[in-house]
Amino acid sequence: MLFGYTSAMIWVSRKWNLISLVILLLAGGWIALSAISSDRTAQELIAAPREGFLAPDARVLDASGQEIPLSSLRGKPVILNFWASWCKPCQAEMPTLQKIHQDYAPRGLIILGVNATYQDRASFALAFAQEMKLTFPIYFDVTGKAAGEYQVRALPSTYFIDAKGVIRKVVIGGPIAEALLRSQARLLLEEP
Amino acid sequence: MLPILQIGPLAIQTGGLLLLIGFWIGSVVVEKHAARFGISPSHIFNMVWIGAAAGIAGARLGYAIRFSAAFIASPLSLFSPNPDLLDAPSGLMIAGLSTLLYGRWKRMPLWQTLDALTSFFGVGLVAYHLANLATGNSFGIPTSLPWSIYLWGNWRHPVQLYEALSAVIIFLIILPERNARKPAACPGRRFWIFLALTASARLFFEGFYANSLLILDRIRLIQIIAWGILAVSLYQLGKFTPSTSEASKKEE
Repeated sequence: MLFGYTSAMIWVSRKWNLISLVILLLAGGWIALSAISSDRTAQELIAAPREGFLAPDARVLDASGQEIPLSSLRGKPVILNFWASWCKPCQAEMPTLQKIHQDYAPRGLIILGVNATYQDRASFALAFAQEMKLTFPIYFDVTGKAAGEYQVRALPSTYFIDAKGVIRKVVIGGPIAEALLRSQARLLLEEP
Repeated sequence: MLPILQIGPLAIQTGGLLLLIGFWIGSVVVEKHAARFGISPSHIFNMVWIGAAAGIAGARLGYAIRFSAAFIASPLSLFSPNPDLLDAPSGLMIAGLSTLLYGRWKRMPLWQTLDALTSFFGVGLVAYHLANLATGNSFGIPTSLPWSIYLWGNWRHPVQLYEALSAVIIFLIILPERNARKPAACPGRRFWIFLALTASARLFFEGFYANSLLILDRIRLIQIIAWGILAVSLYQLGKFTPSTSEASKKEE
């Protein structure tokens, strides 16, 4: 090494343009090689509880005990909210959900509250809904299977699902901001 | 994947927590390394925090402008702690602009400042990819390789791990000499090396992502952007190589 330069460094400095060109050509080759058809990135055929995937077709019960598959709602955008009557953030966001229901239901948006009945009681949930004057549908997840399929790890958890049944956004925790609900409701309704 | 850390009744979003930890470590590291680039540690520390504060405010403002009707109906949402009400491009733009203005105000030399900030970016990238691993964002294409991870209904390339590991290696490469007593020579070189390495890693690993944005229905957009950044970085790094004659003279 002379004056801090090794012969390798001198070679690199002399051939820098050539080295750069080779690196860029290799990188370009990798871009071409790793190109894929948009069909392969389409997650929408697989059901998973995250953005870009088909919403899991969980089954819940309505107030009369009749089983409802969530896939029956396909064709309309849905805001699916998992909640429990004892959960403070759930209680705090319910009036906002009701407000959004009143404003957007006429335009075709469905707000759906799924009570985590496996860690709550249906009677408590109904009493709470009555007290809060909730008019959007409340369903019951008695076994926890629906929460399991949606991988609910905290309450409340909210899923924004478009008319094709694809999840567009997931919000874990709450209380959810009214502007977030409004902005996402608008995006769901604007989906072609 | 561990999106929520449940501590008693408290549910902490792991992704956000990792980003906060990354930011804190990054700001401490950048403060520690600043003197080696001839930059005032307190100035660079303030710059990072001002950039973060302005970035968050800018991201919220950007979201509010994009969905102004929603915020007119609910003005208090402007102050909501909900991280989903942030627009990342607006935040990055405002953060960049505010750090630039702060740097000019404090007369901080551009290239030395960027060299010093590289430590912060390095730590930040590690935290970002670990946060993606925790939340399950940025998932890979399906594979049957033995180190694949089961995520979102399939066995997939652990792209978040590939990226986190490459970010750690890049950070170690760009670490300034521990015992350097005088400011580093060639201002800007460390920054361009970091950029070239990061762009190369992104370009390579993007090929294993399943949720890439595509252009022309086939080409991954991020790879094109990374290729452009790599080209500019290589061109800039070329300016730091000694000219042929200078090198030959020194060889003699």
